[in-house]
Amino acid sequence: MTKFQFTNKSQFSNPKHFKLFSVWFLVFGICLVFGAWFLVIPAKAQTLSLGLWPPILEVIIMPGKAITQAYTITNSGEETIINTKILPFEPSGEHGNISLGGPTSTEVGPLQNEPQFSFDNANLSLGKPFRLRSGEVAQVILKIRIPENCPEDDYYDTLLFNTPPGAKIGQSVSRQAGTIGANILLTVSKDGQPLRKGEIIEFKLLNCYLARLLPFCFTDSLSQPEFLLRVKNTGRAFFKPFGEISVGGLLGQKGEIEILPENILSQASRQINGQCQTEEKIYPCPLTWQPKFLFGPYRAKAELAIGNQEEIKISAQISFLALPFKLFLTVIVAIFGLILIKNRLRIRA
Amino acid sequence: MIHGKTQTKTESHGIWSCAFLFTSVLFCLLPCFSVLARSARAKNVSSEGYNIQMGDVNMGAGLPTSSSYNLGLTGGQTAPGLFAANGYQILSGFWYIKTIIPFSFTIDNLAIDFGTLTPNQFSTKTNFLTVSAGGAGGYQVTASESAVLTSSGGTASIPNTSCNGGTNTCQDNQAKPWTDFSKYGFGYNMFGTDIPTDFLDSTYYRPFTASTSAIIMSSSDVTRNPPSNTAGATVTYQINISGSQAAGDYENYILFIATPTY
Repeated sequence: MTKFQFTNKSQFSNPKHFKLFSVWFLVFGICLVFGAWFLVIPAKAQTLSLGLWPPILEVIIMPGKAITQAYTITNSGEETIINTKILPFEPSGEHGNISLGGPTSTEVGPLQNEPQFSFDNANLSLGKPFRLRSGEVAQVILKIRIPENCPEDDYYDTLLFNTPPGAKIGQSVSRQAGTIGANILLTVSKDGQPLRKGEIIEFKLLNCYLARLLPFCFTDSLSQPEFLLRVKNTGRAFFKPFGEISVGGLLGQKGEIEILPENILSQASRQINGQCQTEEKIYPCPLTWQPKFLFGPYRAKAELAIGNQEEIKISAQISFLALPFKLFLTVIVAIFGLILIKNRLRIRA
Repeated sequence: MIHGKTQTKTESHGIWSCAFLFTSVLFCLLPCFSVLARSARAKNVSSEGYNIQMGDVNMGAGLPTSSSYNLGLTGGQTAPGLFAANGYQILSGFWYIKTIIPFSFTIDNLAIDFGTLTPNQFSTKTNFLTVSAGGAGGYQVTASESAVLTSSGGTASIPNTSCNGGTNTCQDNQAKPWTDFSKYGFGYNMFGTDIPTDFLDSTYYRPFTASTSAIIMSSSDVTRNPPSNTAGATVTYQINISGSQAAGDYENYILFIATPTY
C-alpha cells in the first residue's frame, strides 16, 4: 500500500517516481525563471504621466463672490504622490508663455484682500499631498473666493500638480520630478466692465525688401505677404482682440486675414496669430495673405475690437509696393546669359 | 487479483501524478498570468481613464457652478446681463479648441543612474519627455535643478558644465559645444520637437541651474502634429569628472514644469 505514496522516502528508489519528480522539477524551474523575468521587467524604470483639464480658466467676478471649478487629473503612469500649490505668474515673451514666481499662496497665504484659493473636496486640501494610483482619474474642486475688499484688478495664477523626485537607484543619480499646471486668469470687477485699453505697437510686412534703402516697403509679386502684428494691453484687465487685417490694391484686388483671439494680459504684449480653420477645428497660423499675383501699391489695415460688445477699436495701417522683381531679375540674368553664350559662339566661329 | 489491484492502483497513481503535475505547472504559471493580466489592466485603465474623463466633463464634473457657463459662447468677453445676474462669468478651456483632450506631460524615466563614473570620460544617459497640448493653445516645459550634483555627505560636488569654455562657454539659456574631455561638469542636450534652437547638434550642451528655470520645449501651435498634437524630445544628460574628484555617491534632482500657454 505504501508503495504509491510520494511521502515515503523509499519511493525515489522507484525509477518511475524519480522520472516523474525530475519532470516536475524541470517544469517548476522553467516556470520560476519565466515568472521572475516577467516580474522584473515592470520595475525597470519609474515613469510619470499626468494629464490635466481644463488647461485654462478665465473668470470675471465681483468682489464678495465665490466660484468653484472642477479640475480632472489623470495618472497614466505609476502610482505617485501629488502635491498641489498655486503660484502667481507673469507673462513671459509674446507667445503666451508664463514665468512662475513669487511666494506660493499655500506657503505664505495670500493677502487678506486678495483672491483666496482652496479645495472644496472632502478628502483633499490645497497644499497637502495625496496619492494617485496608476490609471486613476481624480477630480479636484478648486474654490476661488473674492473678499469684499478685494481691489478691482487682474490676478494671474497657476494651479500646479507636482510629483516628488523618483527613488534613488544606483550610485551617481540625477532624479527627475515633474509638474503640470493650469493657468487661472482672474478679473475682479464690480460691474463686469473692467477698463480695457490696448494699442498696436507694431504692424509690418515681414517679407519686405530694401526697407532700409527705400522710404516704402517693397515686396515681390510672386510672394505671399506675411504680416507681424503686436498688440499691447495698456489697461487693467486681460482681453481677446477680435478682428482682421484687410488688404486692398489699386487694381481692385482685396483680401482679409482673420486674427485668432488669444488672451493679452494686462500690461503685456502679444504677437497675434492668424486664424485658420478646417471643418473640425480652428487653429493658429501665420498672418499670411495668399494671392496668386501682386502688382502695384497695396494698403493693409489691421482693425481690432478689444472691449465689450466691440465698442473699443484699435487700428493700424501700412502701405507696400509689389513688383515682379524676382521675375525681372531672372529675365535679365537669362538675357545676359544668352548674350554671353552667343558671343562665345561667335568667337569660336 | 493482487496483480489486478496493483494495476488499478498504478492507473490511479498515473491520474494523480498528472493532476499533481498540472497543478504544479498552473501554480508556477500563476505569477506570469498575474503579471500579464496586470499589464493589460494598466493599458485598459489608461484607455478607460480617457473615456471617463471625457464623460465626466460632459456630465458636469468639468463644469463650473455657474449657470452662465457656455464654452465659446462669449469668446472671453463679458456678457453684461449674465454677469449682473450671477456676479461672475467663467470660461474653461480655450474657446476656439472644441475638444477636451487633457493637457498632459510624460517623463519616461525618473531616475538617471550614471553608475560608476570614470575620470576624463563622458558619461551620458537619456530620458524622453512627451507633451500633448491637444486641449491647450500651446505649451512650454522648463527645467531647473535642486542643486549641483552633491555627494551623500555633502562634502563634494560635481559642478555644472561651462562646456568647452572660452568662446564656447555655455549658459543656462545658451548651448555650446562640449567635446573637450578636460572640461568637467554636468549638463544636458536636447533633441526632438519644439526644442530651443541653440541645440544645434548632439555636441551642444547647457548647464542646469537652481536659480532659474530654462525653457527646454515650447510651442504656440497646438495643431502642428495632428491628430495627437504630441511633441517629444530626448534629454541627454552628460557628466565628466576629473581624476581628483572625491569618491562617493552623488545626486541631485531636476524639476520639469509643463504649463500651457494662456
